[in-house]
Amino acid sequence: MAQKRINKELQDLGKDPPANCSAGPVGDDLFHWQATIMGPPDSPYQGGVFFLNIHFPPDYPFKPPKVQFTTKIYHPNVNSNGSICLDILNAQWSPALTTSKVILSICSLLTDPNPDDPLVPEIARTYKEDRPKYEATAREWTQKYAT
Amino acid sequence: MTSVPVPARSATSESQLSMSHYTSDDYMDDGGDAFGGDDIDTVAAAEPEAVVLSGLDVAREQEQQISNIASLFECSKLDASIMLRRFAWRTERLIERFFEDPAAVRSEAGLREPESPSKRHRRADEQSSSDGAGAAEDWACSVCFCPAPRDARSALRCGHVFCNDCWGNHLRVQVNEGNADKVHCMAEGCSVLVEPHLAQVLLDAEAYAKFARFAQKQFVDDNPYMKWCPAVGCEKVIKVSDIGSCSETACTCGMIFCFACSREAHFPLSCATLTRWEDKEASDSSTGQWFQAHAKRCRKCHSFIEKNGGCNWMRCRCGHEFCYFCFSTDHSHHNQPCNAPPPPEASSAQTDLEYYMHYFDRWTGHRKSQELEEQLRCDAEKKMEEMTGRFGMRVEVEYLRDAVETLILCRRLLKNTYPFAFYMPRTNQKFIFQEMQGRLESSTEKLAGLLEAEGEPNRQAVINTRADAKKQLDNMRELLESKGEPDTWTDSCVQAVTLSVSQSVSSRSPRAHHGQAQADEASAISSHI
Repeated sequence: MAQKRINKELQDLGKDPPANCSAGPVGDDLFHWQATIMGPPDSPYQGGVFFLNIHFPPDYPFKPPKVQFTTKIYHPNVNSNGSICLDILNAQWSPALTTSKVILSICSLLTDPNPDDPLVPEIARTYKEDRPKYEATAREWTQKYAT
Repeated sequence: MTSVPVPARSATSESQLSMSHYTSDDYMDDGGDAFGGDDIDTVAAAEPEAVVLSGLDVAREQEQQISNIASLFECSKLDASIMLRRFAWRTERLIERFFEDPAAVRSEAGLREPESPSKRHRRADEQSSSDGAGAAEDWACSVCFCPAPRDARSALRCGHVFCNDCWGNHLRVQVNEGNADKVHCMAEGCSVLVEPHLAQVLLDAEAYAKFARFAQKQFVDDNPYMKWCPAVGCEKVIKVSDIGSCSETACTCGMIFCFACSREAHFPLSCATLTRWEDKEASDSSTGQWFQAHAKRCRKCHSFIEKNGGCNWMRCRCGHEFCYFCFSTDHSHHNQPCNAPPPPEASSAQTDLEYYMHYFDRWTGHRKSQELEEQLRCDAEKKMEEMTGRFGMRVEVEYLRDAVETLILCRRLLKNTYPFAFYMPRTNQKFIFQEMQGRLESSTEKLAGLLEAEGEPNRQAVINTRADAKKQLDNMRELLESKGEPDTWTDSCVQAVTLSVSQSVSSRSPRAHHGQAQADEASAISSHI
């Protein structure tokens, strides 16, 4: 079941690729994908290319995929391990969601961070209290790690 | 703080059978004697009633709650069960909210206006055809992306249609995660809950059994009036009519536990004080562990002695005899209290540790004794059978079981009095408390010694010692019940306690076989103060 569905998702991604991102299996392992996200133009991540690892559990899509940034990023909802705090990857996961929708959600998280449910409280505080400083640091990290 | 074990009423004949070894009159005696006097009826009436339920009874309870809500809200049982699940079975809150705003409650629970099943199916079909862009053959499940014939698709009342294979997989994964009562619809952001009858249709017998078990577990966990018996392997549920704080509740398996925190009954400690003590024990574990993990060294031959019985008078294989707590070798110390704390000196880390170790050591010692004495239950049962064979009358040997049960009750209270005393300030009140604790300790030790002895027990000695231990137990409970948390035992009300101790002793003296001696002791306490 999982394999069939992942295959279908891969075909759909090929037919109708989402803007500014791409995703596909690493080698022969259909359950391990790599995704890339282009930093959204209206964000301090503009110009950067961010890589993510996606692991599908054996009972996918009834359990969410595990998604992680492999590129370092300065963001209130992404920690230094690359773990992402996103509701649809945990409690709000629905089997009707797809990898493409997940990647798009991560894209919009880059444009609109959620400082009220932070994974890195310091970055969230900077985001809320000193927006220019947050943007400068995020741009600096993007230049340093994602280009 | 309520300290009287709630006498449990069993709900089924099956659980009545399992009560065989734990219906001694101890509970009732404790309840009655602890309060004493004429006001017993009024006090007993205020006690919450507890019922022990089996799995079947729980299902009946659940059904009853659903029926009540269905008839009150004039809706179907299915709707009632969905609303109850959404409100985590908090009936009062549901009723309150429903009468404030029924439409809001219905929509919160994912219910639309009541509709007939045929209409629902028609709507599901319309939905599926719109999903599948017209022709039914083109329909594909949005989870597995595969087509499925009409009769192999289902939807909840939200109308989101998926194929039955996906519904089944979704349910199985959720059940394996331990979730059965709150499985959501598979559609993105939809919070409508899966109805149990769909699970019954879609899951195989084994998976459905698991689903039903988890659903029942959730029902009990959510229900503030119900608790699982915390005893290992016991699957009974205890339902009370009123949630008091810290009330001791008895299960038919013999377990007596605190309804508020599901730990073993811990009178006189409140839940908070017990947690404080356990945290302290855990944080001092490097010292504590050594004492707990290893036994003590014999002062004569220096070999390690491990406690293998409840009695604290130890005999090493080298023949050396000593008290497990203070290492006294004086035979007259045997059966005597050993509860005097180290002398109060200027506070230092050293004396603080000694002070703590004094209480910690006795608490662990009595805990170990309690564990060993609980095994005496089986031994006593065997001995009783053996003796019944010879005497022919079971009634003649039942004193043995009563004695073991009393011993366990005494030991448990004794154990808990040590953390209690640890938190008590060093006042005259503490002195009185220690006197009574000492008396309880010596009669408990004496009873343990008699019951652990090889061969046939001395009937009269056991009966007398049990009566004495029980009296000490009741006195101790009475003293503790008249007071609050250990830190509040100050000297300002010392006169009142002295009075109550002497009163309680004199009121009991006609029944006690050495009541006069006790009354003398009590007056000695008052004169000391």
